[in-house]
Parts: sequence; C-alpha cells; structure tokens
Amino acid sequence: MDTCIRRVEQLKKNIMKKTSLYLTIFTFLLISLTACKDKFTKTFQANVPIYQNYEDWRAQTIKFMAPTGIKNPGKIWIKDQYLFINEPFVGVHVFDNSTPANPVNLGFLPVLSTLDIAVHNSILYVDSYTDILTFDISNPHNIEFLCRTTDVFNNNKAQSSLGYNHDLPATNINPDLGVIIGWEQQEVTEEIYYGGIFYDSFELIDVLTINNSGGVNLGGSMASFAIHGDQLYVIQNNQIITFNIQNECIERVNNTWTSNNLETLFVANDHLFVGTTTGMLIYALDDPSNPNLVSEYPHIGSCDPVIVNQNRAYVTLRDGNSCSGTVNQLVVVNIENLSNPYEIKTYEMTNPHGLGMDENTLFLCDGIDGLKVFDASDDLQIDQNLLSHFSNIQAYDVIPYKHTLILSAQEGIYQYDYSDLNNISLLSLIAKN
Amino acid sequence: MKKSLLLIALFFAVLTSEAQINNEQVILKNGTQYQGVISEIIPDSIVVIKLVDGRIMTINYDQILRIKNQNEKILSPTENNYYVKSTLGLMMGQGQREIQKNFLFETTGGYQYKQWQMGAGSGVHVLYGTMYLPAIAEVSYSFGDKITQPYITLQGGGVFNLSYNKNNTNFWNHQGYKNGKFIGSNFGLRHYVSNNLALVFEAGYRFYHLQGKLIETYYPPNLDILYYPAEYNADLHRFSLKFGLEF
Repeated sequence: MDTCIRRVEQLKKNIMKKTSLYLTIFTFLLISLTACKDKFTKTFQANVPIYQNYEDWRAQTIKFMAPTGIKNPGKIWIKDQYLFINEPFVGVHVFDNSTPANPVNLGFLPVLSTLDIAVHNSILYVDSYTDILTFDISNPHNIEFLCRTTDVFNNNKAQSSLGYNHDLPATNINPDLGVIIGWEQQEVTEEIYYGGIFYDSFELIDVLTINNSGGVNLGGSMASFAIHGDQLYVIQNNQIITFNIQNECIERVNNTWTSNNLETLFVANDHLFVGTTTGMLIYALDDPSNPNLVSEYPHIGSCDPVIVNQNRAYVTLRDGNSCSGTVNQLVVVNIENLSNPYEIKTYEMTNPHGLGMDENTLFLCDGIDGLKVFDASDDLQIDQNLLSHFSNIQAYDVIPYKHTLILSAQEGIYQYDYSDLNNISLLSLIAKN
Repeated sequence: MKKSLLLIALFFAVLTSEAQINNEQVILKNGTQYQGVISEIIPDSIVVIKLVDGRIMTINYDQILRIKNQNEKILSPTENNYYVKSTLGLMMGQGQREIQKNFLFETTGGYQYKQWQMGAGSGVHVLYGTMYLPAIAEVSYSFGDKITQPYITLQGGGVFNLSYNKNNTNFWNHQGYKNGKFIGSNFGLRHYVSNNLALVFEAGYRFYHLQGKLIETYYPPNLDILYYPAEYNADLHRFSLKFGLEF
C-alpha cells in the first residue's frame, strides 16, 4: 500500500509540474500575442509619383530652343515689346509682341517644373521646383542661362501633374526621392493611424488649374512673383520670401511668415498687396528687404486676386475652388488709409477670376461668363456701368497694357485693342496647340 | 493516452479513498461492475477491492476499463452526448490609442464524443463599440474526466457587422466593416455541479480580420474634394476571459 501511495504521490507531482509548465507557456503566449497593437489598413487605387533624382534633374542643360506651340499657357510677363509666357512644368515661350495683331514666336526655354516667372531689367527669373533660375534676356533671340539658386522653396512646391488621374487620390509622396516628373496609378495599401488619415503634404498644380488661374503679370492680378526695386517677392504657402536680385544669382534675404494661405502678389504705392484665402494683407515696403504688415482686410474664405488703382483695391472672390469659397463677388475696398482698409461695396458676379485696371476702366474675367468691361469711376454703381461684355470666351486673367488688352482664356492668349472702349476689337489669338 | 487516463483515475480514486471511506466502482472491460472499497492498487498488476458484501476480490489490471468514486459526478468520456455551452466575458486588446475592453457573449452547441467536443454557435462580439454577429465553429478536448477538468478549445468562424452601413464615410466609427473572420484558442476549466451542468471558465487569444469598404474623402491640393472607394482591413488581437455554463 505504501508503495502504491508513493507512486501516486509521484504521479501527482509530475502532473502538477506539467500543468504548471503548460500554464506558464500558455500565459506567455497570451501576453505576447495580446501585446500586438491593432492594425488598420486601407487599400485603394491611387496616383503614385514618378521621381527623378535631384542630381539628374539639375544636371540637365537648359538651352533656348526653336519655337514650339503652346499647349497650356500659364503666367505671363510683359517686358517692353516681348511677352514671356510660362507653360507650367515645361518652360517659357518668348514672343515678340511689337505688333499685337501679329505676335511672333521667338523660341522656347525648356525649364522643368516651372510655374512662375518674372522679369527685371535684362534678367528673367523662372522657378523650377525647389530652385529659382536666372536667364539673360538682353538678346531675346538667344536667351542664356545664368544661375541656379537651389533649395529656395520647400519640397512641397508644386508638382507636375503629368499622368495624374483626378478621380484618384495621391499618395507615397516623398520629396527626398527627388522631383516628381509624373504620376502612375497603382493599388496601394497604407496603414491607418487613429486620429485621421494624414495625406502627404504637397501642392499639385496641373494643367487644368493653371488654366483656371493662369495669370498675366505686370498689372495682372494672379501672380505669385512680384518685383519692387531690387527685391523679388515670392509667395509660398504662408510666407513671403524676399530675394535680393542685384546680382545674377538671387540671394534670399528674408522670410515673412503669416497665418494666412497666400495666393497673389501685387505691388502698388510702395506697398505689397497680398491676396490670401481669408483676406487681403497690406505690407509696407519702406524697408524693401523686410515687408512690414500694415493692415489686413479680412473676407470670407475664398480665392482672391487683388489689384490696386490709386486709393482703391479691387478684390474678386470666387467659389468652386481649393480655397473653399462660397461666394462670387467683386469687392471694392477703400485704401486711402492703408492702416484701415474698409469695404465700399460688394457686387455679385458669376465666377470672377483675374482683373485689371487702366485709369477708371475695370476689366474683369468672370469665368464662364466671359470678359466684362466696366467704368469704375463710381464705386457704388460699377455694375450699372458695364461698357462691354464678351460672353463667348472663358476668361481667367487680364492685363491692360498700352491700350492692348492681353487676356488669358480657355482658348489661349487673346489680344484686344481697347483704345476705343465702345469698340473693343480683337487683334490676335495665340491659340493653344 | 488510455493508460494515462486510467492512472489519473486511479490516482483520484486513491486520494479520495484516503480522505473518506466511500465505495468505489470498478468497471471491467467486459461490462462487469464491482462496488466496494479498494484496498490495494498495484499499477500494471492488480487492484484489490473489498466488495460491499465483504468479499475481497483481486482484479487483473488489464481487465479494468475504469474506476469511479461514487461521490464523483463524472461525465464519462465513454458516454457520448450533446452539449450546449453559454459564456459571457470580456475581450481586451491593445488598440491604437487605448486598451480596448469589449463585451463578448457566445452560445455554442454540438456533440461530445469521448473527450472531444465539436460544435457551432453564435452570440455577440463587440469590437470597438460595434456589435458583430459571429458564426462560430469550435473543437475542444478535455483532459480527464473528473469533476473539475481542464480543456482546450479551438474556435474560428466569421463575424458580421450588425451596424454595417454601406454608405458610411467615417472610418473610425467602424460601421464600414461588413464582415470578417476570426480564429482563436482557449484554455478552459470545467467544473461539474451536477451530472448535466458544469461551470466553465475560459481564457484565450483570438485574432480578428475585418473587411469593409468605405467612400473615402480626399482633399486634393488646389482642387475640389474627391470621394473615392477604399477597401479597409483591420487586424485585431484580443485576449478573452469568459465565464459560463455548460449543459
């Protein structure tokens, strides 16, 4: 019997040992497995960037080429009798506009990832993704590269939209990989983290958008480059970057930060008028290298090109765009006291874009409602003084220049003779190819 | 395995015989049953039992199927049966922001064959505050046949979102997950309070894979808001604690 009980005791110990071992292993496994965090993913079709590394991209030789057709005209700068027309992401077309009825295409300057241009004396300034390039235009028939100032802009400077599918989102954007030179569509799986889905920060400028905002500078209202004295002002997101342009290679001298999302620049009366999505900012340029905020005229969230004529500022607000606007208006602002701008009157419009002014004549591009020409001498009755209405064009921006109206539209660049406001006549059309 | 079980049975028989003078029942493989007090066990050799009528009988070890203590309420592994089990509990897991503690209720039923149970059932699984209807398949194996017996369970199946909204656009309210799969295992203890009723406790791990589709909102720079379809997947890890009854 004793033998039997000892045997049973031994058996009992063995069972206890094994049970303890199994329980320990089981507990360990449970703790290990439950230490795993929940994981959420989403799979979707997306636009994925195609990159070119910075070295290759900057190593490309830029030579003035024979004329090519314009597919998508963008910002325009007028210098004497020459038109410099930026074609987004592709380069700059140069026209001799000595005879507006017959502009002559002189050639093409291929600059990748460009959106904006400016001209000062005999220097052409062209942005190119993160850099700004300068060119000698003293001989417009043979423009020569001068200098590249690198890393002027943040990495999220506008990207090419080549191959971009607007029905799909964009993802996998990593500026460290280089310049985005195009897009392709792929199925993408991304991990999702609590608190929202964070999209890569970038600014997509595509052909459509450029067409919708294609600006005409030198009196144009939608430019993001402006020159005053020896300073080049450039806006990017919520900062005004000031460059000294005394030399061939520009030199960044200052960054002026704001809380607004900046859109357009206009220099007048030794002040910088900045159109933003939430209002118009006025900066004094007493110290040109350090713009000093004087005042702000706030308005409802919208895109707002702005121009200034003497003591009046004209602002257009429109909806249906990235500025989340909900109104379509022309606002006349009194800026006699630059420290205290105030609204004089607001006029309802269809879908106002750019605008220009010559003395008391206001040229307003009203989107699908075409070009409207007003006598604006009476601030309170501008809508009652419509001089002309070209409703058969889709107008985006305009610059009146020596009685020649240069108009950026869906079809291309129109030029009108407005020396007789009652008989504005078409001079030419630089049509899109 | 059979030998081990018999040894365990003998072990408990001796333990209980030491604590109290109770009758045991020795069941032979040929169906013969003897009732009395076991006085000696020599494993792999003989069992000596003093029968209730006073006779002492020596039985060859090889002839014995099992030994039962009269006070034990045993669901015999040799007795095939149907079972129904209902459990209520809590699932815990490491969410992305905080520990997730979710409610769990399950009822399964099936057939018991010896120490194996195979069944199916349903209930309610709550994940991130969203109720899912599970379709459960399970297999379990019991160790031993005493009043309190350990067992392991393998469970798996599908889950269906009771709050599914095909037009849902908010990922984080979890209404966009249509269905999913889960698999897990439990370690359990079953304690019989009568011949037909047992209390059960289970602790285990389970893995969920949920799937769904949402209309996602995208705010493209400089362009109008874009709505696009996306397929969502969630992999959830849960530690579960359950209590319940088994009939």
